[in-house]
Parts: sequence; structure tokens; C-alpha cells
Amino acid sequence: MPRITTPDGMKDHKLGGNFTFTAKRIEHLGATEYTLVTVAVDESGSVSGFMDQLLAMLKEAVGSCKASPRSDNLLVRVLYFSDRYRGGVTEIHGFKPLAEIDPAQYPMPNPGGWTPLCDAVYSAVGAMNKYGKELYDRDYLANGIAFVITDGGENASVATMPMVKAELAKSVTGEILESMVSILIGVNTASCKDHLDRFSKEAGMTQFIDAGDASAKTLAKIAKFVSRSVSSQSQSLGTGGPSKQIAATI
Amino acid sequence: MSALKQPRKLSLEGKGTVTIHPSDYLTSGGEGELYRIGDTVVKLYTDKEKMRRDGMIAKIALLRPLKHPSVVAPAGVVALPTGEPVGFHMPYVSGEPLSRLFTNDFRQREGFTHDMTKTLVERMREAVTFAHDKGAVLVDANELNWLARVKGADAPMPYVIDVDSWAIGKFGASVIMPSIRDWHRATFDQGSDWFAWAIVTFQLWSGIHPYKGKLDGYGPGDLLARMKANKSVFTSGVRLNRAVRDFRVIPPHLAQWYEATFESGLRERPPSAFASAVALGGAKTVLYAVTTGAGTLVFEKLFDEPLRRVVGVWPSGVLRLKDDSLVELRTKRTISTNAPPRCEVVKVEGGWLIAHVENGTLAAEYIALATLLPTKLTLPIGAQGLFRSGDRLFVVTLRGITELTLRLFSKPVLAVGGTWAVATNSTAFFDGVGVSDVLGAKFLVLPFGESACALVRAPELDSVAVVNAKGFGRFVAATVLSKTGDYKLLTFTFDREHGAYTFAGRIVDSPELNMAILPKGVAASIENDGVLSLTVPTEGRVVEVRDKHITTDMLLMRIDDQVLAVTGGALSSVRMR
Repeated sequence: MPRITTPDGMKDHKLGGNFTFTAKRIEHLGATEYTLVTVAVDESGSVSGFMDQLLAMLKEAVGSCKASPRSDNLLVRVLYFSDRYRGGVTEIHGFKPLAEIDPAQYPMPNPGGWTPLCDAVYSAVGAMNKYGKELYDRDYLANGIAFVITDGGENASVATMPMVKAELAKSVTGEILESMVSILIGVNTASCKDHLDRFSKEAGMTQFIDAGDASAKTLAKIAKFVSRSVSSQSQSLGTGGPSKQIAATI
Repeated sequence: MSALKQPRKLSLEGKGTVTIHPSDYLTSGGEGELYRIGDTVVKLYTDKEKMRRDGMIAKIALLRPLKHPSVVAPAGVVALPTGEPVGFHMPYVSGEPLSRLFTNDFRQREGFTHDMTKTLVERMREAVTFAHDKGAVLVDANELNWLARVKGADAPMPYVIDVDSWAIGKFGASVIMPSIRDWHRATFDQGSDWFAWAIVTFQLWSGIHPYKGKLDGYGPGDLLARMKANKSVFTSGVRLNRAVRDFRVIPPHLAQWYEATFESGLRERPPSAFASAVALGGAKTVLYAVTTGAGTLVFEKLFDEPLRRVVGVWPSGVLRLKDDSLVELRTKRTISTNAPPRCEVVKVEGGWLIAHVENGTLAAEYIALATLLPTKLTLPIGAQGLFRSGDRLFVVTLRGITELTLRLFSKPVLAVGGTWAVATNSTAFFDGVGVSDVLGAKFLVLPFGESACALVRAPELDSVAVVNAKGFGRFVAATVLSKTGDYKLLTFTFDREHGAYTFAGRIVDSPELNMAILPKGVAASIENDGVLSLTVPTEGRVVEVRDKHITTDMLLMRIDDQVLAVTGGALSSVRMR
């Protein structure tokens, strides 16, 4: 699939196992701290029945982030995953400022192949660790949030579960990223939700959400959940979290 | 998403009955939903009991008269047709959340300049001042509770929202964002509001929260720990990324106020960004500047009052005047009017510790920086004297030297820290260093770092009499009288672990040791008229600045990393530009 983003100001990075990603050159960044956001969307053959809604959800989720008070502190990466791609994923765009992203240009998923779930999580979290480390080394503060949206369980990855676990464990040490949230969202997963729940726990993801059917209403809810979670995670980085009850002592 | 599923009639106090529709939905907050009807915004509390339980009708009656262009105060109660109060209404304003204005991307995109920042910051100061004048405390005025209109007539215009959460009259506040909270106090008042204002507006100038940036000893998520420790971006050693804007864009007098607020606990109303006069620390008048090969040496007058001559300076930023009063240089506030003759003053959490030894007993007092209220401190410890290194204070006992620490609980408590066994009866304590004589073998006693102290054998001192000495960090200088009757200047430059040192010595004309050793590792000294030596002992580098204005009667001192000179009771700073 051709990249829809301009490579201007972007830099290629390598992860282990021939995984790659792109990200805005740090010298071009205009804020002092960032929340890294990754949205990975299943493009395996089984999503063919609701790919329109899936695309609408993706556009809405990323587009809604622009309303966040901290929209200029977000760097967003979007990828589709299917075993038809080398390494199981294709990057729609790498980490780049939200202002430079036009979600209307996101391409329609082209469903086909199997579900490389480990590849998707490994690429999503590994890239955040790698880029987060670069930011940290250049004295930027960063945290992260990753969403992996799928309708099926792992069945075709190059990356192994130990690789995934290692990246997730690294992401939550607090040494690179100030904090990290990883969410696996199951859509239309009545038959495999237990499997996905086990996957998320074994891998060490923060949360598994069984969103239910693949209706437009469900996917709209996911979009809202994604944008709100992003806003909340970014606010947490900038301010230590939302306003809190005042205790009687300090 | 609106919780309203169908149109609802509401009675707006002072406006009559209106019907709101789901399509009027604006946004949701922590406590309720906002709907816009023309130029009016209606806030409906999610908690149906909120209005009654929290006495919101009475509170809104107190807030309603707060008329100010930047204060979006409640304008009246909103009720159901049954009369049941469910919220309030207020004028509609539009603007950007302040957090957007922190980033360079937004500022470049929207053409938001430093001059606009200046105007916005000043108007925010006016809004807070207005609230205080009316008896209100904003409490939670974080960057998301400020909007800024950056386009149109009279822009930039700030708007403070969420006014129903303010404290006023008998009504207190219930929430506050951790990143703007003054963690040094348990209550919320005008002082804590100015601290919050400082946090938010500093980001408008610089783009970074004042307690962020990388600092050794703190992790990426240690924001609150940094706030509690007063370790701001002004702390030496903080590393900032390239997106942080140059602090020099901040008007100097306001920059001083920010630094005092973040580092020293100042909680006072800030000076105006437009003020031309220097509000803190007195006017810095350049006395003269000397251009040398290494740059320009500038002397700036900091304190010069004919009836209040400076006789001493502590690194904590406090001056001792001839009339025995103690004055904080930065704000010129008098923190004590009758200081004991041989007292020591060190900076501690939230204030200063003033201590002296009287009849073998330690006498100490804590002065709160915010209020200047003194608190007597007691510590039952037999004391022979005091020994100070920078802002670390030790009590000299028969057993050795014991570090004093101060903890702020509900009240300040003085406690003992580490103890180092030193033969105190045969130890001479100087400025930051002690010389201990153990049966003819001399040792240097040199506190370093935050909690360490080195006791190092120094055979070069065995056969001489130490007349004067100064030590700090990795450097010790001592003037000694040798057996041949010569005065010598001996210097000891330690490695990082303070396990070994490099020694140098030379004959000098007098035992005077007019030197200031800075934490950053530079020593400034005047040995002869006309020459100021700037030495980096660890690198062996020396720069000599020659000028007729440099005289040996300039007594060199320091505050933090700044070299000061006291001449005839007047204080000036000495720096390279």
C-alpha cells in the first residue's frame, strides 16, 4: 500500500526483526513534551463485512483528537495489520503532529489474509519505546497510549509472544516513557473474546475491551473512547492528571 | 455526548424560560454538561443533589456580582419548570485552551508573539487580582480553566472559567489539579493562587512546566517530587530540550519573581509584565563593565543603603546588616531584626533556619518564607559551635560534627542527620572546611554533595599553621604560615569521589583569603589590587581580569552560583557577560 503521507521531516527507524517505522525528526518538533499515540487496525480478511465502519471509526477517532486542549502535544501513528504485509503491518503514517494529519485521506482497508496480532502489538509498542527513548535522550518528556483494534486472535505473526512481552514490559518501567497505556479492543469477537482476553493478559497489555458487534454505533463508541483516552493520557503527562479532591493534609 | 435525549424547558434566572435541545450540547466537564443557547451557556450538574447539598444558590449569589471582562462568572440559577434548581447560566465566550498556546507549533500557526504573551499574562494577573479584591480564591486555575481569544478586537483576551468552583465566603473549593498545587501548604489562599498563576503563565513564556526538564535524581514522572523539593528549571543542572523558549523573553523583574516563587517559596502578587521598574531585589544598576579577552566583566549594584551597611552574606541569599538585621536580598524583606552575633543562616524547605550556640546549647529558629513568621526550634544537643558548608549546617559536639536537618510536618521540626567522628577539640573550622589535627597529622574535613563529608589526610598541612581556609565541592584553599615565616596559599582539588586530590602551593604576600568558591566549580579571588582571578581548579584553567576598579577591599562572597562583592557596606554582583 502506498504511503499517503509526505516523508518531509520524517525519519526511518528500525526495530528488531526487520520491523520499521517512521517518525517526525526530533529537531522539527515544536512542543516540549508529547504523548505518542498509536492506532493499529486489523485488515485481515474477516473485517471485509464492516470495513466502511472501521474506516469511519479511524477517521473519527483521530479527527476527534484535534479537539483536545493538548492536540499540539500529540504525535500519532496509524497502521493496518494483516499477514499480507512484510512484518505483518503497513504504516499509514508514522509519528507525526496531529496538525499535519488529514484523517479524510486515510485509505479504505483492503481486507485479506490472517491476523498477525503479535506483529501489530510489537510494532505499536516497540516503535513507541524506540522513539520515546530518542525523545528522552534529547530531554523531551513523553508518555504513550496504543490501541490495537481487531476482530480475531493471533494466527500469523512473525513476532513472538516473548518479543511482545519484552517490549510491553520495557514500556511501563517509567524510565523511557513517563507512563504507557496499551489497549486491545475486540470487535465482533463473540467467538474469541476469551482468547483475546488471555492474549492481552499474557502479553502484559493494560486492558482488553470487548466492544461487542461491529455496528456503526459500536464503532462510533470506540472512536469516542479512543479520542477521550488520548486526551486523558496527554493531560496526565502535562498536569499530573485531572483535578483531584483536596485532602485535609499534604 | 449529550445526556439530553429530548428538548427540555428551563427557567434561567434573569432571562426567563428557554428550551434547550440535544443539538445545543457543547461539552462535558467533571461535574456537568454545558449547552449553548445564543450568547448564553447553561451548565447542568450531573449530580442532582449538587445544587442543594453544596448550597449552590447562595454561592452563585456571591459569584454573580463578579463583573470583569476576563471572569466568566455565573449569571443566575437555572431551574426546572417545577422550580427545582439544576445548574446555572453564564455568558458564552470562545477561546483556545491555554495549553495550546504553550507550544511553538500553535504560536507559529496562529502568529502568537511574545508581545501578545506579555499582554495576555498581564491581563491574567489583572483577573486574579480582581478576584482577590472581591474576596474570592480561584484555587484550581489550571491551564484548562483558562481560555485565550487570540484573534479579533482587543486580542489576546484571557477568560477564566469554572468560576463556580472558586472559594468565596463560607464556600471552599473541593478540587485542584496536582500540577498547579502549592505542595508546601495545606490551605488555599491568595498565595497559592499566585503560585498556580506562576506555573501556568511561565509555560506561556517558555513552553515548559517550571518543574519539568531532566534533572539527575528525578525520573520522568517525578513532577510532584520536584515541586515539593523546589527543584525547578532554575535549579542548576536541569537539562531542557530545544523546543523550550529562551527564558530571556521574560521581563527580568518578572523572571526574578518566577525564580523566587519556584525555588524559594515566594507567594506574593507578581509584578506587572509591563512594569519598567525592577520590583525584586532592588534596581540592578551597572556600576561599570570591564572588557577583557575573556569577555566583559560587569559589576552591578544590588544593595546599597547608607544606613544599612552589609556586613555578611550567606549563600542562602540572606544578608547580614550592621544593625543586626537579616534581609533577603531577592525581595529585600527583613527576616529578622535582632540576629545573634555568631549565627548561621541556611535555606531549608519553605524558609530559613537561623541557628547559633549559646552557653553550650543550640538555639534555632525557623522563618517561613511565605509569611516570615518565626518558629522557635529545640534540639537537646550539647553544642560547642556551628560549622556550615553552603546550605548544610552542622553542630560541633564533643563526638564530632552532626548535620542538622529540618522537616516540615504540621510544624517545622529540627532533627539530626549524619554524624562524622572528628576530634573537634583539635579541629579548626573555617568557611566550608575544617582542618583536624590528630596528634600532628592533619586531615581536611570537607562536606560535599547533598549528604556526604570527606575526611582526608593532608600531609602538606602537617608542618604549617593554617591561618585561613575555604572549601566547597571539590576545592579547598588555605593560607598557611610555614616554619620559615612565609605565608603560602595551598590548594587541594579533589576527584569526584573525594578520595584523592591534586595539590599546589605558592608563597603569597598575606594570609588574606579573599575568595568565593561557586557550586559550579569556579573560584573567584582577588589577591592583589587590579587583578580578579577566575579559576576552574578541576581543569587547571585560570583567567585573569585586570582593571583598576578591582581592589582588595572588595570582599568576595557568593549566593548560589553568583559572585558578589561587598565594598564599604554596599553589595554588588560580579559576572562575566
